[in-house]
Amino acid sequence: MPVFGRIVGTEVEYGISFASGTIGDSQGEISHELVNQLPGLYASGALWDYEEEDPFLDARGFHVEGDRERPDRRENRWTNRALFNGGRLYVDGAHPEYSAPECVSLRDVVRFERAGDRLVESCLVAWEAQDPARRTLRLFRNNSDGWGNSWGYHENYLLSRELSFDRIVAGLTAHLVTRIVFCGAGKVGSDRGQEGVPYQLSQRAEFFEVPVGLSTTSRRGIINTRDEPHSRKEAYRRLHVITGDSNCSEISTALKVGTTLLVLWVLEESQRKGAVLDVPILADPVAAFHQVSSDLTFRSPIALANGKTMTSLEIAERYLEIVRLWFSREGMDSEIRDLLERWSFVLRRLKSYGTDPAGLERELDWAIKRRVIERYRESRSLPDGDSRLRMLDLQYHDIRGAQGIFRLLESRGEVERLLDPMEIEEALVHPPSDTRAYFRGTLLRRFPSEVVAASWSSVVLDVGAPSLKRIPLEDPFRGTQKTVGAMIDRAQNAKQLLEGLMARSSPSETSEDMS
Amino acid sequence: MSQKEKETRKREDQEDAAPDPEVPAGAQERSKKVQEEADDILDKIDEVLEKNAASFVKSFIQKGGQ
Repeated sequence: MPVFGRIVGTEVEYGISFASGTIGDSQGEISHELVNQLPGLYASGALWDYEEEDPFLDARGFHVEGDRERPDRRENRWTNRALFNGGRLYVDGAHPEYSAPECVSLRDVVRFERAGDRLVESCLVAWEAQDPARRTLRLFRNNSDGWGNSWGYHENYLLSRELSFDRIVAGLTAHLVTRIVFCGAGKVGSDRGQEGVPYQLSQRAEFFEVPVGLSTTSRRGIINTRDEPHSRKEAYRRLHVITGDSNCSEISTALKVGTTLLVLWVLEESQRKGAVLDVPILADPVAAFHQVSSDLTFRSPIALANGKTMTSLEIAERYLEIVRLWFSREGMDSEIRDLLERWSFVLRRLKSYGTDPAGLERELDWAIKRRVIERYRESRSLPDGDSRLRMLDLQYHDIRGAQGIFRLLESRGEVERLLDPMEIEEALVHPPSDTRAYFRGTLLRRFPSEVVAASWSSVVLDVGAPSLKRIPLEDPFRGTQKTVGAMIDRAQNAKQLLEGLMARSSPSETSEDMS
Repeated sequence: MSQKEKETRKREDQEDAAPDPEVPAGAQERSKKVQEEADDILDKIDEVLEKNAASFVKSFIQKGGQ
């Protein structure tokens, strides 16, 4: 029986400004200062190990020109924090970014993502306390400024190398385009000057220009082709999904990641078994993405490649049916069962959203936000286009407890939750137990003076030998608490741990010398 | 209002309503209560919503990211 045993990691880039809304050319500098205010409770002085990174390899089988990042020591430290929870806090472009650790359970995906907000909030508080000019900052867990600039939310799914890239494109595109009906974060107006779009489902949809592409910053493609698995290339792919919105609602996050994971899972398994899936193929995925985002009735016909049409909700229902059928045949664990139930319940209610929102306004970001904006607009008699409505949209995503509108609704029991707040607290310092993040995060915390650098696929140790030792973490499923927890607990220092690991396997598998 | 208080309140409501469902006073009272809570949230939003919204949304321009 399949268990929820697939690895996922998510990344959040934050919008950032001073209290006035401006930040201008200092955005990058302030983002760096912010990261450098991370309290020592959450990270040591370790650097980020860039050795294995290569974001220019394209999944279509070629290499793209580009400068690989190799910052010097000072720049590296100024940009990065390798976190005790197994994740990474850094500056990407000019935005603070949090990459959550690799997770196996959906619950972990949700709680480690929320832990990122808390880490960034702690930087924010520390930054403000030390700023000689006593300025205040605002940070937004959103994806657009309303002026045509977007920053990302990325999901990463570990897949078998056997799953062909063409099958991913054919099988996943319509899901990414239509899943925003339940996981869009909602947006007032349009970044691209579209007329007649007072409110749309997705923050990001408008920014996509091609069906398939490598770039994440311009001419964005619905299916991203970056082939950088951060693991054994012959065994795995890492699909980098860049179409998603940064959700505030735990339910939306779980549905976004959970449904996509299941669709990919079925694509992979069905290929292996030679089964044919009746997945809808869109005639024009980019136009459809924009169309779905601005259709709050879910009834507008979307052109398919076969000349027929389906509505966004019909496409979403088709995906649910394909996945449900697959797992009812193959068997499922309770996490998958719960997810399928929630997925189905949400789609059922979306059908009648126009006449009866039935709880969706407590669950889905776009619906929660829309409802609060509408209530406010009506009660305060604000005209369409009033800047307070756009401000409410932005502030919905403000990460600070005292200012964020989502946080306010949550604290008053106005939105559904999946997690106990204590689960988030724990995720600030303790890595997931069942992926290599456990090894990385635990070593960083236990041996802060000996772990000199880390990355997704390595931990670099200085154990007093003439050269540094790099422990490769090539397999994301290895290095779990179950397999190495006791050994790490027993070791007095990293040198002892290394000796223990070497005694257990051949030295070449354990570590390699670095000059 | 804490979860516990809310549950207590919910239970009280149910008890109130149970003996005589034909009297609409209980329903009216409840709907009034819901309305008050809703207004309360809007007031709270007034408190925390950026006072210079017009200038903020005009100035909030980010360098694009990924």
